[in-house]
Amino acid sequence: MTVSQVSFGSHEPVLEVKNLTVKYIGDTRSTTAVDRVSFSIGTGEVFGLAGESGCGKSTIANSIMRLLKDPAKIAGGSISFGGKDVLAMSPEELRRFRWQDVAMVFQSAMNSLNPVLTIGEQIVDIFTTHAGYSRKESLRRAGELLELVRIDPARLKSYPHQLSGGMRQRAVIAMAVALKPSLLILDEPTTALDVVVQQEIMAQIKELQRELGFSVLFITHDMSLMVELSHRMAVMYGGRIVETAKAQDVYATPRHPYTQALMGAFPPLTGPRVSLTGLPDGVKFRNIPDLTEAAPGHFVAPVGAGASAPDTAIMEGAAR
Amino acid sequence: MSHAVLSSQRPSADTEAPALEVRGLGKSFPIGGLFSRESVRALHGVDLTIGRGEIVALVGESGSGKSTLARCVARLEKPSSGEILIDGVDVLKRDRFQASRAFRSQLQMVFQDPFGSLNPAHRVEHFLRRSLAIHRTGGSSETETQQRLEELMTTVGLQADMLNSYPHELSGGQRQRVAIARALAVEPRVILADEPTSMLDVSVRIGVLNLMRKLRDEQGISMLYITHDLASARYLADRTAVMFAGELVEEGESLDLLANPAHPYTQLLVSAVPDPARAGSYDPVRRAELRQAVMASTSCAFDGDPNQTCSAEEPVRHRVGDPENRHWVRCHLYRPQAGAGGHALATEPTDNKASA
Repeated sequence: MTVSQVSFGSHEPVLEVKNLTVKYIGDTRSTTAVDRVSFSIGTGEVFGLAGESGCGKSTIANSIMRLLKDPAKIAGGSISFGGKDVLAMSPEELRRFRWQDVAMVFQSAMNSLNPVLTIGEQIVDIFTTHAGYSRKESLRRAGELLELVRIDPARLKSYPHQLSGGMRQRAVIAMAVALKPSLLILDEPTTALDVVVQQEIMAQIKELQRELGFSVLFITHDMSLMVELSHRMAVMYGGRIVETAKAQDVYATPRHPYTQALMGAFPPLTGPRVSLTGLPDGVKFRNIPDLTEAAPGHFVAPVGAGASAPDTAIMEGAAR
Repeated sequence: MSHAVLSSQRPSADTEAPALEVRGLGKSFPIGGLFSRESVRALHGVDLTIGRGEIVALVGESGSGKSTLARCVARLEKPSSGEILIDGVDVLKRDRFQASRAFRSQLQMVFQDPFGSLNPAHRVEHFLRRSLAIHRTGGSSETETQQRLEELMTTVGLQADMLNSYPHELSGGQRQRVAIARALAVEPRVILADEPTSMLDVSVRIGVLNLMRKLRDEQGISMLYITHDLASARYLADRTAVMFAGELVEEGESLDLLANPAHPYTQLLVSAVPDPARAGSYDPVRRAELRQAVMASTSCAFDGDPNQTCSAEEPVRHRVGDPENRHWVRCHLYRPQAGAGGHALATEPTDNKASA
């Protein structure tokens, strides 16, 4: 049961990714970065994508935004946004789709601000280019936007280097929600920040989400953060989704050994000190099969010998 | 007042000199031009003791001065004031101008970035063999050296045949293990580990922490573990010290410190760590409010408020809870009677600042 089915009227998924396969084509060999990945995000839902570096999670985000460049190629599958086929969009449709429908905050995005333009000029640019407002109107809206993320509108005249890392990241998030997109993609939005600032940023995102009602695709390797923020989540390994369920279910009963290793990588802050193991160096999973439903709403890729996942009902889990 | 004010001579568990002791360490960096007399205070009056076979974690946010402390202790940076004692000997007096080989054989560092700290042109064997040769810890014959090399690899959990590998053939976790083996080759008393796991993939981080714990348990090596990750500090370290704006503000047995943080800054850090297991689910808005409350009531020297006691005089250490936990805090706002459990941040007493 997703949040979209509980708290919002619409049962329609905002984003639906089906059997997405992305390859990096080389001269002699090619690598499959994303392998038959399927998931959907409902209206107002926060969907988490967890995994380590190289697992393909950022490639998925870039595929959704159609930002992939050679040698990356979408080799199969479909991405539909609000019923529209994202992969078939024309350049003009894409221009509207980005920012207005889907906005993305990149990892250490605060460093992607143009250092020679003021924050105000950069926000105004979004409104004039994408929404066609007048300069004066854009400036007024830019001020409102900064207020939304609790930055003094006087800061419109500041250059990026005059703001702290946390403020810059908040400014970037403000820019992302400027045109009220229905989906916000956050790719490790707080990795470069300290915990206290991270907490503030996450608070900001949560508040904005409550106010504006957009859906979120949240990408991180920090399982604790993900469980706290996401409604549903998926764990990726080697381009495949190995487990997907409600975040609380993944947290309470991780079923795939890789998920268990990721969970075990974050020691708890409370309770007795227990020995954790993590994933032994060199352990690899290969030929990860399609997901099966291990418990209601809890889909896991079955593991061979020594798997702790009890195989209950076998269902077409991957093609939700 | 019922505050137990700790004397500067803190009782140590054994009569032996601690493995590493830092007394009143300060460091200022000059800022501005060549003739500028301005400076920024990166460290101020840091007292820290690491017993033999003890792991102490140093936590704080970036810019709090924890890496500066590590660089000063490792003598990569010259401290402006204070003493650094290893086994009771002041190494700043012993080797006045730079770190001696004797110092390096007592203290080794493991750095954050295993991709940058190993020369890509050399095989793993080179790094270890070089340490063994320089510090003459490889034995007298080639057979003994070879044996020692294999022993080192086994100790850090790597295959002996990886001695022939180049760094680029190894994963991040394996590289960090090589870096640890290189430090071990010297047979040091103390290892300084500056964020040794923050650049590793999350699933192998715990393995490196477990290795550090094993080295302490089996070889009695003392460690200073520098991190911004409170949960891993709690997992690995016997004691944890919290650094804020270049000063230690709180220190104690790790479990006790994180369960009963007394200093507002520690409370803020603890409350900011995402932990789904914690009672009361994630409410970032509430937490952000807490942060504001904490920051407002942190009457520290750096608040710039001359009306606060802390700004007027040096804060002193107050003992927190059971003396066994060696838990102290430097804050005038702290009131020991406020209950043994976690303090509610909002009800932090403000009428008590005239203490000490």
